[in-house]
Amino acid sequence: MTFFPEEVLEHIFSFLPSHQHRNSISLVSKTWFKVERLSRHRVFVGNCYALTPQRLIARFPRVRALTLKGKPHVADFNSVSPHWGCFVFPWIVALAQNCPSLQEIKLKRMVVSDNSLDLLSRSFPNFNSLVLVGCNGFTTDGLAAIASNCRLLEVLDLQENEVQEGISQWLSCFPESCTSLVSLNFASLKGQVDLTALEKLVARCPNLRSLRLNRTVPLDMLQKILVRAPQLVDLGIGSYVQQTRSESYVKLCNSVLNCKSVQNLSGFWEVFPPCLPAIYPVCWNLTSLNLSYARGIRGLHLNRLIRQCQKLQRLWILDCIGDMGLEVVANTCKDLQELRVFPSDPYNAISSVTEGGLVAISIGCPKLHSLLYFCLQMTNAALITIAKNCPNFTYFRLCILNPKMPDHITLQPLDEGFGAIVQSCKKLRRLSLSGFLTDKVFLYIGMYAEQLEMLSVAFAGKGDKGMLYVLNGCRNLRKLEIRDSPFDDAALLADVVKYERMRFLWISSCEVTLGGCKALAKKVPMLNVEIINEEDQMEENPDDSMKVEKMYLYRTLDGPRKDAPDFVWAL
Amino acid sequence: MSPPLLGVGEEEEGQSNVTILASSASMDSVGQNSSELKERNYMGLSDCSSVDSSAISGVSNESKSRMNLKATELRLGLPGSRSPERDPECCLLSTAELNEKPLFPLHPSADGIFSSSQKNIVSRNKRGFSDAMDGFSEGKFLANSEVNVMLSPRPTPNLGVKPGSAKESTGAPAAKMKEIASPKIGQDRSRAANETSPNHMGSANNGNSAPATKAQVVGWPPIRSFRKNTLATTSKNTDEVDGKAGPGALFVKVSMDGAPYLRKVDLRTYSAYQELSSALEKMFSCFTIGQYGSHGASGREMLSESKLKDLLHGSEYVLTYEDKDGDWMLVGDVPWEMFIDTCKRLRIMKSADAIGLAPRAVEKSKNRN
Repeated sequence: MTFFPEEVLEHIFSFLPSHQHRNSISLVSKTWFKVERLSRHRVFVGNCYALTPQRLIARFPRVRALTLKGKPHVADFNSVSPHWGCFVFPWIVALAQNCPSLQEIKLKRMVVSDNSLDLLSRSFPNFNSLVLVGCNGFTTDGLAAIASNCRLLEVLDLQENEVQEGISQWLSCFPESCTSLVSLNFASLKGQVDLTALEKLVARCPNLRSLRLNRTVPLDMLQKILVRAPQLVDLGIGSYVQQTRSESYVKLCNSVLNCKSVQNLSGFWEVFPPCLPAIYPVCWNLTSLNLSYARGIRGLHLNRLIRQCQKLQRLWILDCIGDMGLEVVANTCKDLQELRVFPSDPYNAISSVTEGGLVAISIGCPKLHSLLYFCLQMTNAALITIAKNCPNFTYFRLCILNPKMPDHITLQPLDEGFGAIVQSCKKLRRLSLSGFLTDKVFLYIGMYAEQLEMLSVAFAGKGDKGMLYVLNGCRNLRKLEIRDSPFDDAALLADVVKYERMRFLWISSCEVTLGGCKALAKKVPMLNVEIINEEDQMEENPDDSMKVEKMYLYRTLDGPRKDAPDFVWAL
Repeated sequence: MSPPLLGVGEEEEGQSNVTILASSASMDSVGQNSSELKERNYMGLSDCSSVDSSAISGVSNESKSRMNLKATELRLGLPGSRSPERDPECCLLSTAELNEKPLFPLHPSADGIFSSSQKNIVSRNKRGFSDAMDGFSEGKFLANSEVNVMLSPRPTPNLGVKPGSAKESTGAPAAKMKEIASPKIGQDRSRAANETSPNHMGSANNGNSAPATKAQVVGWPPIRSFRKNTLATTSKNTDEVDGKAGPGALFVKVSMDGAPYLRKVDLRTYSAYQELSSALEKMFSCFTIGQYGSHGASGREMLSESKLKDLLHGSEYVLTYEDKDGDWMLVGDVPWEMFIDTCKRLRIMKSADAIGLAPRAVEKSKNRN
């Protein structure tokens, strides 16, 4: 194999589908390593602190598409201060100096400043794709820079970021010469956009496939857009409010009839449900429907809409659909693969979905493999039934809204239910637990969940054995987050070697002490152990026996990070 | 666990003083560990016991009378902690006069843990774990918690419960805690069931008509902050838009056979068939449709065969409407909301002309029966 010329190797490697595969083959020999690294154009970095930008560029100098993930998953839920880190600016600076041919950047949970966006927009002449998910720190001025300067922009996809309003009307900054847009998603922005500019932009971009509007875009503008872009495949509706007798609405009905390609539908940030029939014509072809922000669609209107969508594979919905609505889904959407049921009123613990709805889904939709389900109650019997009906789960995330709820009929812990899930679903890669759980569930997880890569634990367990079962049993575990559970130093220190194979370990509000973390840090020099110490919990010279509020442990090639704020202690 | 109790407490706050007294009695039976938490009835039925937090209690009495009962809830922990995802309703409570600075920790003192060093208190109170264990009170919501604890004697039985279990969680291995928790679940539930309307699911579902916010654990439930913020701000907006309110008025023409001119009515100003019928009656005084029920269900009872025939023969006119498809339908068959969606115009028809329609209605009601 080493006698192949490098060009041939490079060509062969180009068929490898994922970076994991490329990582593996680069270990074969020095030649392969070299060929692979010089030919890798798409680079994935799961933790931006695992290595410095310089190291990345040194290894992959020809990177054209970079994905960077920043804060840990729990940061999404306000458990990590916004100043904790994951600033993209140093990365942009380094890339601007060394990789001018960069084309695509995708950032998740990172702090992105307007300066970063500005530098980005001016440094890479071939730049065409910016995807920001769950980021913060920028305003519409940064977006204006992107719009103005990225001549070949194809993708601007903003998902659930916290964007502040700046001064610029960013959408108006797309020059007349910009005709290359393929995907524009500004659904999560709060501010007004210039509607005339929007219509003109849509009109001059013939390749536009995906357009997601925010709530300030009214229904009559939607109609005009559909006239200009009947080729849309992915449509996110902004405001959907109109008198059904109005001319606008009638026009919309006609315009929708021309949109034969729509497969993804989302949005409905404001909705007058009697207008929904106008979009029925596209429903038969929908594979993905995201109504998780559409609080106005419920009851009969929702059920009627769902009944139109028989090809649905992915459904994101609010829990006001209720068990009855889930039965409609189960009867209609036989191809359903992914279901997410979000809570519409989580802090008042009001929910119309129960374990019954989920059981109905499991009966009607055997292809289901990805689930996120918020509810108020669950039973072991239901989970066992679900496990039997849907053995294909790869993602199973169940969140019972109130912590430590047992089986609401038998008052037993939910160990058996989750145990059935891990036993039956051999391909399970991600699991989130909730409800009242003892160590038994971890025993089951350790025994059966061999493919598990990510585990989220909250308010669970009795002692420290739980973590040991998991660490010993789940060989593929890469991400582990534990909160408010009785894991202590003994569990933390029992098998530290395992942590080197993981991307991160997050522990908060458990029984882990500062002394334990220090001991851990000594044992694993290749890992960063950070204590997040917000709100001055610990004084200057804290006692080692103090319990640690948040500990974040991750592997890294470049030692403790230099940009940690004061409240983060690197041990 | 304590969740049902929480829900119970909050419901009772909305009820009469008598209930509070009753709850005070039950408090004794719980066996308060903490001597600092006495029965307090801030509705003025009994004397306030003196307490360390007298300053706060005075203030919070006023706030209690001022504020909505729906904001009362049990949150425990030290005052002065941040609470990043506070609900707007909680903010009402928290911004009311209570300083962020720690004054006294009610919860820790109840636990008896407060005797140890400040550090321990701090670390104890930031924990979601034991607090959540005891009903999702959280150290971050301290400002709220103090007020609420004092203002709601009902929930203080929780505190009686809590110290025991909280102590378990700190001192002893967690195993004990769970064991204690489980029997308490039964206890709490039976107590709750006895003392309040059983309006709670297995969780702290606030049966209040006012949406009382619960004690919140930081970072739980695990919802992205973007989604959380969006839900909070849009709840009002969408409520206005969906369903009844709709965009503006909905005027439809009403014609009556033989009348020289037509009228227009705004269907949105009515919420049921009865109202529409009365209004039309007034407008066209020789007209009666009062028999139609406001909903298919009640209409069923009305539209028995004999009754309908009597109606039609007794009165000269029937009310019909033209729907979106252009068909003329009898008013009253479908639920009101569906009716106003589909109705384009109304016509008061002579019953002779309506013969084609009426039997359908009778058949429909037959089918329903």
